[in-house]
Amino acid sequence: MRIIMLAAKTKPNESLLQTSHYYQFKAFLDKGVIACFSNRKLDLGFASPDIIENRKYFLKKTGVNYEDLVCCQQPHGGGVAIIGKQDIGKGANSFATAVRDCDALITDCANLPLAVFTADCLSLFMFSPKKKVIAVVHAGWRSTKEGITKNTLELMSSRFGVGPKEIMVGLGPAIRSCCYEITQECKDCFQDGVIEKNGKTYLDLVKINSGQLKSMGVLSENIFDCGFCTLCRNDEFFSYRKEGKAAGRMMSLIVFK
Amino acid sequence: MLIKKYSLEFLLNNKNINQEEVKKSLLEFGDNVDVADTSSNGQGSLKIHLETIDPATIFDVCAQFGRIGCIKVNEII
Repeated sequence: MRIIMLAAKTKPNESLLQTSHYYQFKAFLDKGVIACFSNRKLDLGFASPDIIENRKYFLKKTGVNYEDLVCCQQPHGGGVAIIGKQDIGKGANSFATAVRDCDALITDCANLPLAVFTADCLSLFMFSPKKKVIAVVHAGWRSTKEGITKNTLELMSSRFGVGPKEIMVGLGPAIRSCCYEITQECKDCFQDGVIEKNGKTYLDLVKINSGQLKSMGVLSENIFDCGFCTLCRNDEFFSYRKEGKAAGRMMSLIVFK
Repeated sequence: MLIKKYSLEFLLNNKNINQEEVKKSLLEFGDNVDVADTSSNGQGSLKIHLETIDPATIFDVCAQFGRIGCIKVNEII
């Protein structure tokens, strides 16, 4: 019985392809887009002592040159940046060079890999097949309150003419409502997605961000949720809540060829 | 192995912010931690300056206390 339960636990979501170091969204791959998130085999964050080796190794597996990677400083705000060829390599190997004042990145350039790093916060992947525009989003509770997902979609729309009905969205691993106990201040910021259970308050980041997308016209059938809770699945993913200072960071990467 | 160290300076804004609580939380993650109260007109604000090898975690921690702004980052090693 125990073996069966473990097998079920490790079975990947049907919307995903699993490899040794990452999961990839099938629907994106079918359109020529790599949208993937790493597991805990490699710490890919800025504080990793093996940052260059780990990023080189991981990105090579996805067919990306690590020196091209563009990352942002992720200050947990609502800022979004549009990235062009002139930004290639920003944040590839140093936090100091990462794109400032934003938690989401958008580009219409092929072969320009964008990434965010998480260890409980939600990552979102966006792609417009019609306009060939991609985005990646880092959504913790404060960025979610600032409307980071909505802001990203609005900028994709205003700058590139992306329509909500055409857009595909992938939801990466995150601490889910089963485990994400929150403070009163955080609770007071949200009307939806707050769950009271056994005298404690929990937040559903996935529901709130999905709700922002749906309210803007994104179709439910175009939203692909990996379903992983980083705290429940700490065997496979980093969780800041579980591990504290020792937690590494997963990379959520998107690029189209 | 490559360990980079950064000088990080930013404002942390929240009307109910607690200077001592923020400083206590940051001591674990940085050196030369300086947290100055720059509140004015009832708007709570702290100016934070520290050196750290883990700036992403500094933001993760501080985002629990308030809104981060006016960021300056420099690599020092």
